[in-house]
Amino acid sequence: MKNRIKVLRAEKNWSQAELAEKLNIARQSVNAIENGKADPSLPLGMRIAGAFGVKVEDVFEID
Amino acid sequence: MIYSRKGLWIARGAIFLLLAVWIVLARSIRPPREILPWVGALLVLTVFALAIRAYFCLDEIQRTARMRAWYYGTALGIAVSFIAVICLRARPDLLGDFVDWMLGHRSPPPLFYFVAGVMFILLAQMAGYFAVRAFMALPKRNP
Repeated sequence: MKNRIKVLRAEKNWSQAELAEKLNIARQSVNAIENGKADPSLPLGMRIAGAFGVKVEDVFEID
Repeated sequence: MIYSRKGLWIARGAIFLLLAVWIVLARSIRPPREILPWVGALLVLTVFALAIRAYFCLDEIQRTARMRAWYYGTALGIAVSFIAVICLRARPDLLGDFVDWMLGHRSPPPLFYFVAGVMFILLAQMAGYFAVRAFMALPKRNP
């Protein structure tokens, strides 16, 4: 699954640690999702989209 | 339970502290042999409870990664143990040499062989877990 977290993070000027804090997950987990090493569950995906103020489909895309 | 970095470090720290205290006390005090199994069982149960607590302090991505590493790591450990058994069946003298090297004599009680066999499988599984985690930590190569 592809994602645009890195781009959205850059737009908001957030570090991985800042995003992790907003989502209450580990920074390593943000890194793993961002690099496609791990896929989040639907609730976490929705929380990620909510943190950026966009829809889930604007963040994630099936390969 | 939700992700808690502090809770995770407290649980992990307590595990390492308990194991360190156990090693130091076992070497310095030399408790009576009769109570050793009970203290050991209590230690194992406490470490297990702390490990469960640490697991529930992880977030969902970390939990999934740990579960995957545990699944493949323990399978790897069992495979290695199985290979060791096959090798020992083919060359039983190797076990005698190994025991001789470890203890300095070839006639330990049967309990030694039982405990060593169980510990070997457990340690192989643990080593497999860490090997898989190290492999998973490698950067992903994009084709």
